[in-house]
Amino acid sequence: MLLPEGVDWPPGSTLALRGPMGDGFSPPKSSRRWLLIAFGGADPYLRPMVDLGLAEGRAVAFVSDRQTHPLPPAVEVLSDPEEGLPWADYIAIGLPFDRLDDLSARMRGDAWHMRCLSQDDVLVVGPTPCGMGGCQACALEGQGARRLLCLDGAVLRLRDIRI
Amino acid sequence: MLISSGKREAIIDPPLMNTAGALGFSDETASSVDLGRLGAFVTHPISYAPRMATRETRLHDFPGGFLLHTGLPNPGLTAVLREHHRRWRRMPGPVIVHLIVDDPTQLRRMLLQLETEESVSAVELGLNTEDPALIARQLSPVISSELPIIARLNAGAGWPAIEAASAAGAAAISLVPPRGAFRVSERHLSGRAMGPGLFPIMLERTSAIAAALDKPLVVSGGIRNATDIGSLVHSGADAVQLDFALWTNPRILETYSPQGA
Repeated sequence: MLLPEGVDWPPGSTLALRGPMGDGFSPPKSSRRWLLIAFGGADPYLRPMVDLGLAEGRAVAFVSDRQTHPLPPAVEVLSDPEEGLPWADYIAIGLPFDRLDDLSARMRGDAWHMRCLSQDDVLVVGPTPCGMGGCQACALEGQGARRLLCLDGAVLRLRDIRI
Repeated sequence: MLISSGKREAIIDPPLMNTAGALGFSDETASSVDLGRLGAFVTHPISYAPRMATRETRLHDFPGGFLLHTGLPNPGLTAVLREHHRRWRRMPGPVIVHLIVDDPTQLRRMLLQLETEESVSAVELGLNTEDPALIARQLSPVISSELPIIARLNAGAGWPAIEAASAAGAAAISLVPPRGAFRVSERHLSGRAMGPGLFPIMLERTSAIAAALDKPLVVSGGIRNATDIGSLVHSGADAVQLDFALWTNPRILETYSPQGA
């Protein structure tokens, strides 16, 4: 829809990309049990973590609230994120902006209170129309400071945003 | 373009600005946009008290544009001043602070704060009503302000609303596209309409208003390129404000020339 003026992108074109191109998911090297949680259609963003985790010999569990594409047999598919919380030593969550309240409600539960969250990540899937920190359309209220997905993301530490 | 409160004045040359909400609070986007090519920089909308980002759907595409609904997140004027006033002093051109108008008492306090900040050249007030009586009430602090005030109205505002803003002491009138709405997943989503599909509307309104207005007119909405800028200036706009074009075509500032207008 909003293509640059006079754009012409034939196959093989080199594109100059503008953010977010920052941090991805960063599980601790010592983590062995990954819980991947996808809400609201964020499954494709977590799918590469499945392959990475298995390739590195980690145990991977996946939870989605949507019908997701078939996963490798080694992945344990859970029906409820709280099932995996006591087991996982790293959590990666993907969700759109309008599911933050759902996550907030879940995290008020006891199972979440038991977790440290210091090394868990969240990818909030949302618009980044300006890509340069100007429009605030990707703003997330943080602990102590507002975060912008286009500059500070795309993946943030769960402890750094105000869920 | 020159705007004056009778006590202070600001010169916006070239007559190009960003819309409030396009380029952040100060120089955050300086690595992507040549701020020195703007006649003035307009800050992201700022409120008296902090506002949080919305948790609802924030962007909805439609043919010709999109709706943007952010909730206008900002930490409040006092915090913005603390964080950005030094950066404003280093900006290459005049800084216009955009304020969200909720209450005349709060507006009066904000204007008094800004009058003491040497880096602020003018103020733009975002009005969300077209009721002349309400506009007069909301803008009541303007008449005693030292700073030149730009009153920003939706393009659908009738002449009585424009007259009310002018009579309240606005040094200039700014027109923006009206808000729009869509039904998305059984939810009513409203927001600021942006995109090239709005340009014909803004050009028509410019022609209709400029001839009768005895104050400077600033227009934004749907501007894609230097040709669009020239069309608005030719139709009577004294200055224009750019929004999405700064994101998709930052070089628009380089391609503008007064001779082309």
